[in-house]
Amino acid sequence: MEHSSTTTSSKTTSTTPRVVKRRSATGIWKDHQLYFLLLLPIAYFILFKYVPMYGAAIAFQDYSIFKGVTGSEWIGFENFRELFAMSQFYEVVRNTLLLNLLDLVFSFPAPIILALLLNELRVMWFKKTAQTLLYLPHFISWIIIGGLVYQMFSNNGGLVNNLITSLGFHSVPFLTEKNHWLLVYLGTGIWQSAGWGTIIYLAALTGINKELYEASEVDGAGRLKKMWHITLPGIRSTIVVMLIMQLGHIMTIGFERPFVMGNDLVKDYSEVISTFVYKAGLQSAQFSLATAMGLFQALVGLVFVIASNAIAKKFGEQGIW
Amino acid sequence: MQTKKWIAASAAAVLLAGVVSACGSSKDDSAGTTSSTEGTASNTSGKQVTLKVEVFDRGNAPAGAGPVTNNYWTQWIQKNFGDPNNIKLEFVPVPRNQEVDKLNVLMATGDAPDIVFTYDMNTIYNYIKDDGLADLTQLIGNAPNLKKYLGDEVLSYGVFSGKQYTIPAKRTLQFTQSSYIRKDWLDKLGLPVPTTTQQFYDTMKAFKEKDPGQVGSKLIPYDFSAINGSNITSPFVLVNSFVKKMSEEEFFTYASSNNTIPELLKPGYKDGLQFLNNMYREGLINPDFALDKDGKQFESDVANGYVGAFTALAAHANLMAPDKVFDTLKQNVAGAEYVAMDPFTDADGKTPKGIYDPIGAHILIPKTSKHAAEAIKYLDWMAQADVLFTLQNGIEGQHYTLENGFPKAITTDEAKKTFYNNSDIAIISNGKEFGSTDKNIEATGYQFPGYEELAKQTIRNALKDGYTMPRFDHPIDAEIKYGTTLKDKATEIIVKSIIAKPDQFSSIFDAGVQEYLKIGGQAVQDERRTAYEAMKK
Repeated sequence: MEHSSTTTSSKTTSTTPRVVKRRSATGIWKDHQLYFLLLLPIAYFILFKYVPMYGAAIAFQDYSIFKGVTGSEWIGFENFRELFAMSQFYEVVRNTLLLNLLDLVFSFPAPIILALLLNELRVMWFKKTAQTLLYLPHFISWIIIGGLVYQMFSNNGGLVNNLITSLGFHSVPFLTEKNHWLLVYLGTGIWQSAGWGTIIYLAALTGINKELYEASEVDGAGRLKKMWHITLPGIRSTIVVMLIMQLGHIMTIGFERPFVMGNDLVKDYSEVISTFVYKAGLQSAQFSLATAMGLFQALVGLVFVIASNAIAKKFGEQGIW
Repeated sequence: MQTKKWIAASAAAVLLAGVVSACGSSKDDSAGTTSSTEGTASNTSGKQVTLKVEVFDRGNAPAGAGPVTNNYWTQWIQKNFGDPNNIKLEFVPVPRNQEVDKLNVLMATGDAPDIVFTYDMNTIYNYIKDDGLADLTQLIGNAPNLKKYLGDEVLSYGVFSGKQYTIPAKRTLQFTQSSYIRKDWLDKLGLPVPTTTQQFYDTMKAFKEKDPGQVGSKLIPYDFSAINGSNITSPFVLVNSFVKKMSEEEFFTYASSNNTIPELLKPGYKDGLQFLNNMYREGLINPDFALDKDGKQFESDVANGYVGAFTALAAHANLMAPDKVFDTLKQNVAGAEYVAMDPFTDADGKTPKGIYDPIGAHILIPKTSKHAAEAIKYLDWMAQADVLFTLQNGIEGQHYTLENGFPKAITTDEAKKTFYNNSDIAIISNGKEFGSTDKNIEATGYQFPGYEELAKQTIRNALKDGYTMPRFDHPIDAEIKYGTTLKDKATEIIVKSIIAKPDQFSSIFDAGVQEYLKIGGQAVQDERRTAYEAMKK
């Protein structure tokens, strides 16, 4: 979903500059072929992003699947009242924020560091191979990763624990004790996404003027100095944009990762908004309640994006709009 | 120039149309494939009706058998029921372990099959409350075979507020779980099959200490998988045997209408969990049980010969069918053999356990269905003795041979290819009917060649001292609302209590119960007590 939306938006931006130059009606007529091309992405957004939004109405209804959106009774904010009164609500919001914040702290810098390291590699074949190997985990589904993690970290017969016990230590409850589980959860996330995340930073790195490096070499700068004074400032705006986008997702959490990796023993951490919505919405058929949750989640996400964008602009960065 | 523009415009239009119709066309496609495969459609005059029937997809189709929507039996039904009645049958697959989710989606889109079914009472209550089910009170009158086969008691389970909203399938044997133990390990240690909880415990300790199977650190004396109500194994027979005597009122109050919600509040339940907690501390149960969410690890551990004993559904195909767990175990470990045991005794020396109501899944016809009459006709056709017998046992000589008057399954690859999901097709029946409990047990044994005695003994164990859930004549509203959340919470409390440090066991369990009551447990209890009092008036 995310990838497709970024590609379509890049298409739109590439056509806009020409439109901006000539705003008159004749200008529009002249470029009408481009406008026709634009129709497609616009239709996509209307159909798949805006039309389904009417469904959000059921957050304010006593929704019955047989009466539908048009026939169900309107009950105002009753669902939200019920939601905010549930003790599980606060737990899942806390867990979502907790997991996402930890991900932000640990997983966000990982691709940057990785990209910097890759950038320093001078042997091309090694760099290419390393990059490919680092991307690979991105293409493995969480279901498979869940199985791998189980095989690696379970208490009885897990690869890692077998090693630990054979060295004479006690086995470590990686998946059955919540704090250990958190480590495994974060580690798996970094392993899965860091390599893929480097792509965008590596692209940004190629945009840095080579002359700056040459000049600094003349001035006697070493590798670390160059990294700190040229490379990092060079990709600063990319980092900020990525950070804002991450902050926008602070309340959104994928379903598969916590669902597949979680279990009853670590529910204190693994029960998050998406899994809760699945249980309340699909499994107990409380669709209104689940939608209210989703709406609330979207609202908080919006606040985070706007706030972080404003802060970024204050610090002199471009922001995302 | 002009033509160029139009090409661009029409290209865009075509692409747009593709996007708009994407949803619709995929539906047409699937309908198209099913109709083309049923090439034998009759050409009788009059409009042909398409009857859509839900079918469970367990993902267990053998290679070459065809999917659950189009195989030997769907074609057989089309030929024997569809064609003569000018009805085209279309089977709609629903994954077994997501049946409720998928059913809700189907119902919400207004596109549900004409015949659906579910075991989940909450879902049924919701549908009735929202007026989404067809009232079958009148229609059932047109189905003499069905009425005769199911009988009044079974049908009464489908009556809500005086109306027949569901058609419950008949359950011929009400058993649930039995316990199994490795005979070869017992023999090696010179121990008898345990008959009391204490003996069971001592035996598990002996397994752990003496490791009769020489499996080392992989040894699991007593195994079960994650507790979620859908796995075939659980420790609940053990835990429930600790429950103390209750008054009738308490029995009604603390039970749940849905027997997958653990009944934490029953007096003595905590002692049962403490027993498991102790076993966990001593390394007698699987430390990873909570991670095994789909029960596959359990099956693999048993098949590899790591497991001393376990409690699971009696006479279950996952264990005893050809090439399944027990067959694999025999290949892996020479001489390995499980026998049935029933050791979990209560204070009176009895071995109580919950058993099923005399019904299986509830068959429903959505109100949106335009073919309720045909749907009932289909069920009535299925209820004829010879049809039901064929659907359940296959064709003589091809899928079974008669032995002492009971069908014995043929287990060649060829037979398996055309006979693998028949219990899911014969939806009006859960188990086979041969006239008496003994005969039914006998017949079930024949389904598992090589494991006849084990299958029969596990069923007898599972029925011994069995009790059914108490039943009210109306749904408990609080249970509908909080059911799933409570089940989740109860499971969490149980799992955490089992692995708690001994000195924290009590506080973890008690705190859990307090929370359980707070998030809806109390409301359910109060409503059940009121309902009980109203019933006794």
